[in-house]
Amino acid sequence: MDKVLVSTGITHVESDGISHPIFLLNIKEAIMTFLTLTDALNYHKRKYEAVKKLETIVAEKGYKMIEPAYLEHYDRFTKMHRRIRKESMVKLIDTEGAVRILRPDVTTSIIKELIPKWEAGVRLKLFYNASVFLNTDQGISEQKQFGVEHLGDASLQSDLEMTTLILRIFSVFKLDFILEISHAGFLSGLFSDLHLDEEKLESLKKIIFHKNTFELTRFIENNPETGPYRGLLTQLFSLQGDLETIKSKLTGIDVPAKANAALEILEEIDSMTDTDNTTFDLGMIGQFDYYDGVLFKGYLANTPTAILSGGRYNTQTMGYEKAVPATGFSFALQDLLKEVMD
Amino acid sequence: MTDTLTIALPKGRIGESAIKRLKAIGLANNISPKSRKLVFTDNENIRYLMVKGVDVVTYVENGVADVGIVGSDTILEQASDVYEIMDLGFGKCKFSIAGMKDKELYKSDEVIKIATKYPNIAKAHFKKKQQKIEIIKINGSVELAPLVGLSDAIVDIVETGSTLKANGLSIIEDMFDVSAKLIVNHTSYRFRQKKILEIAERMNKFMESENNDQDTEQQR
Repeated sequence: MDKVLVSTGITHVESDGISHPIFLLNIKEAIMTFLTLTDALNYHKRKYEAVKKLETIVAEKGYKMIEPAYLEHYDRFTKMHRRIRKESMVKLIDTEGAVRILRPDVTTSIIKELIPKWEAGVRLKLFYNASVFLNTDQGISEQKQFGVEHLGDASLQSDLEMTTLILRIFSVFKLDFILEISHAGFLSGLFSDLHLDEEKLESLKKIIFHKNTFELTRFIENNPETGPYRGLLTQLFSLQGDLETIKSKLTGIDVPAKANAALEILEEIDSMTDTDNTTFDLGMIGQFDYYDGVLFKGYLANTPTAILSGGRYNTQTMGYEKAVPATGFSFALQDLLKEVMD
Repeated sequence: MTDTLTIALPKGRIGESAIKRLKAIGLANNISPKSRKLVFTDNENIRYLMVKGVDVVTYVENGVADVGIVGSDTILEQASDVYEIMDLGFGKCKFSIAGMKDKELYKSDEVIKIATKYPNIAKAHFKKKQQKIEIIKINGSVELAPLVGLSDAIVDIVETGSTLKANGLSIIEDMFDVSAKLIVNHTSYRFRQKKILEIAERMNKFMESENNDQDTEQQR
């Protein structure tokens, strides 16, 4: 009998006289418990099979396994990723007093390892099955990620390959999914023409990230420099769904040239992917600031947070003085396994 | 995923205002705020969970509820990843710093004590002002803290200011406005967007008609 105790209930703990709900649904594998040894072994067997299936899908497309490094330099990492909360990083101190962190992101580790050794003209297709670490209210959380990176290829073809690979994984596992696609260049094109100072830009990004209509209206009213693109900003949260609808909403509205170029790339992708489960959202903001091309976010019907995220990050490699175009995505492996093993 | 949409409502003042408005747009027909029941299902097959205000965000973030109605003070305190798609125009109040009358609050060379139910909001605010503080987390009767010397000032939501006044406190600084918001889980926003935006639209229309009524009344 398969009895994996991944409870989906809510229980309460009392502290300071307040009842706090604890959602077992989200608590990660580290504290997953089993009643019997058979249950535990059975779980691991099925997990192994599911992971192998994933690896087979990407290996068939020519992706090779890589094992990224666990540790990052705190100073270097925080400088590169300003939007990751410093409190959420898991810090370690070495004998010389230097602060290191357990990797909060896999892509950064891969880039750091490979780009300094990069040779011109190389194309690399890599996949990984690795954990990222973060501090939460409930202690240190280890989140397993399965992902791929495609380095050295700036072509639309490689963006398309990413899209079809994602769709293939969802379909092989027969999942009820929605893949949300956007292009970071749409918003960054808009931002660069708005000429806002850094503080205002950060607050605007936050407003867009939370789809906060009320604050967006206030922001437009309080910032006359949004002038020529008021129409676009006002419409921003409605620019989602199928691309035809989005384009019809944009008629008669001023759109910056760079944003238009991004839209054209999305049209190409739309014309070559044939599925009812994709949707476009021009107001999508990537979790990391390093994205600068096509963006992906994937959702499963019964998983409360995005199960997949990724996109193109060509300029990320510039930190190592090499321009290597790159794109990739990663799945939250535990959430995926929870779905496919039920 | 079933077709039932689930909405988390906070018990108390904001919840009651929310239910009044939901009823006005033809939903939540059978909810009674006085009842001790915690789950209701209405005429449009929408399920309502009655939860504690501070828990609404947690229920939505974890997808147990698709949508929630909650004060923006709670959302800010919990720094959560939910979409905040609409301001509902009720539950309006201010987030303020209050203390004893005529007392200077900011002291560059001292740590000041702040009593509050909202430690994260207080911390963020004073960090911006570069004032060192010590947080004293309390859960109620916050106004008492400066009176009995537990803290130098308090950070709390202020509606009319009458409780402050009755206790000899006054507002030192207004921080920002608070009101009720409609929040949505990220996955639900994708899978149930049509229904969610339809409810938001109905709310919006109702709010507009309410505002128009007020305007006409003012003109009289």
